[in-house]
Amino acid sequence: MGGKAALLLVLGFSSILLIIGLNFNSVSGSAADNSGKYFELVTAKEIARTGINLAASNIAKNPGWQPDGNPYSFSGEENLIISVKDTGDVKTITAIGEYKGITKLIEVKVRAASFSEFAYFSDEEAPTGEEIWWTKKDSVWGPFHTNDVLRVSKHPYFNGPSTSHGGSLIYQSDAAADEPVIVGDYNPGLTISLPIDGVSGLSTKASGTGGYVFSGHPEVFLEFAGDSLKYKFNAADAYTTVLGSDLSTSGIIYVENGNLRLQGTVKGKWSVGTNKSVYLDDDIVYNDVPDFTDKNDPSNDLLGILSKENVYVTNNAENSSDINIHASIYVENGGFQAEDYKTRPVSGYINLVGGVTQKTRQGVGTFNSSSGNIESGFAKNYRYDSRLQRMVPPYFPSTSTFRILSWLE
Amino acid sequence: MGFSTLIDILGAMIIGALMLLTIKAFNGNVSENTSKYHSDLIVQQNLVSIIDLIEYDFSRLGYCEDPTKIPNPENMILYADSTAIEFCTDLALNSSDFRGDGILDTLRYELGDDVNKTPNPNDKLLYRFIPGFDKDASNLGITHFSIKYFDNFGNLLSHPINAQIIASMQIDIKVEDCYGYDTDNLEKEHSEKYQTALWRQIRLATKNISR
Repeated sequence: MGGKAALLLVLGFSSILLIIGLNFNSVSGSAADNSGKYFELVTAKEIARTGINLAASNIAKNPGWQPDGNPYSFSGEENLIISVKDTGDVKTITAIGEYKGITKLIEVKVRAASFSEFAYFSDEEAPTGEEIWWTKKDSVWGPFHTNDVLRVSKHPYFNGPSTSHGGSLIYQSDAAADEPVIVGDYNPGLTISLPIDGVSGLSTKASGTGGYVFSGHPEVFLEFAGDSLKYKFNAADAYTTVLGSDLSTSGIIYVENGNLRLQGTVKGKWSVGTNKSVYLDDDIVYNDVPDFTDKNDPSNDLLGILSKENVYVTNNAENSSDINIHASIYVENGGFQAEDYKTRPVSGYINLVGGVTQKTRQGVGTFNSSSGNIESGFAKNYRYDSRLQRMVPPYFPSTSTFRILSWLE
Repeated sequence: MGFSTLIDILGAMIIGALMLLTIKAFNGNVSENTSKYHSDLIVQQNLVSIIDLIEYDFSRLGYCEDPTKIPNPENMILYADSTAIEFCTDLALNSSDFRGDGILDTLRYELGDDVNKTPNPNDKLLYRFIPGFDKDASNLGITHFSIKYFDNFGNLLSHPINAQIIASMQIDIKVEDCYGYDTDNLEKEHSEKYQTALWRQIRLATKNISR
């Protein structure tokens, strides 16, 4: 009898221990499952991110790229599906990553970038042999890029979706004293080439249906006057007035082998340009002036000014006391500058609402380095037209890069 | 009943008592370990639930289904502090459609006060809410929630935080068991009573900030 009791006791204890052991194992297994689930979710997410980066890289090289390897294999498994869909000028890239049965979808919208998006763009930051610094007094609101080095002194301010440069960041003394304040994305080492056919592209568009080309005139004077356009070919002549839409339905006007002299009030979307220089003889402003801080401002007035050589603020009586410019300016070989900026009298402010893209940064005035007072030419009052993040003047050169509009995961 | 029988009874009682004491100690150890195992699991599950939600929400910081309404970088984060952040986002329409409705929403994370109704003296509520609406929360045992902010050059931003120049952030979360085991035992350290799990996301940069 005693032997049977001992056996029952042993069996009972064994059963209890077994149940406790199973319980411990179950809890340990659940804990491992829990950690494993998070790991699998993160891995699936990283696979999807890989797909987005793969697609974005290929689209940057070839805008028409379409995935041809679906499903892609990541770590030896067919666990990545990529799709690219065109919806107007926006491409939607979708990537689905899968790992151990867990899937993760990421959707990114990208759009071909235009030089008109930039508040400031330069290929070279100074004429050969000169050094120009961005200083405490300087601020740029909107996308900023230079392919050159970025020289900074006493914390200049860059506020835009993106700030980038192709060279190094050079401090006048050190980071503590000079480091810039940058709001938004910052990409050092990025080079965006200026095209060599941006202006000729405008010429082609102007020669096509709906555009207009002035040719055979060394100078063309063009004045925007609301719905009308006025033009003449000599300063002393009287203007010829036409309805803007009669001259160009596409909003593109080009001057072939002649300087373009501009002024007036712009209504609607226009791009004007020449393979020579553009002179701004007086204010050129929008009929419906937008709130430059509001990218959704309803104003539909937009102007692109393109020049192969230079864009000058003319040295004349009209510009002797401030000039107002509402436009996105593109200069392929030269820069935006004030005519005779070193010798002309002090002329107030350049009040620019728009952006400047130029080959080489140029001067608009000189100032006393001690007092900071302007000694000749203009002081700068540049404001980025935030609408340029969503609106492009008719034919404005593309950067051949894509910009991420939104990233959803 | 002879003397030897008495000795037998006494011996059996002593052996029985020892066995009972052993069983009691065994039972105590089993109970404690079982409780701790379960606490560990609950703490980990709570932590994963929280970080799933936080990673999801923070990945949508600045996102809008209508790209033209995506705020400028300086306007994406409306408020930033070490234990609170408020930002613009476009909340998902529902659980099966993760896209938003194209209308910007505002989301706020905020660490609340201590919860007094649990044995753990350090657990707090972490609120996730749309400003202007009720703040709902369930106690998942968060005892530490902090955010550090960095600018584009990786410099740690000092307080008060300038939300305009935030380029990335680091989030630390510590979760503890709210009820613990043997919490009245004064001889035990805090960490012996309450199971703990930590999570740190280093340099979280949402793609919409650096888009």
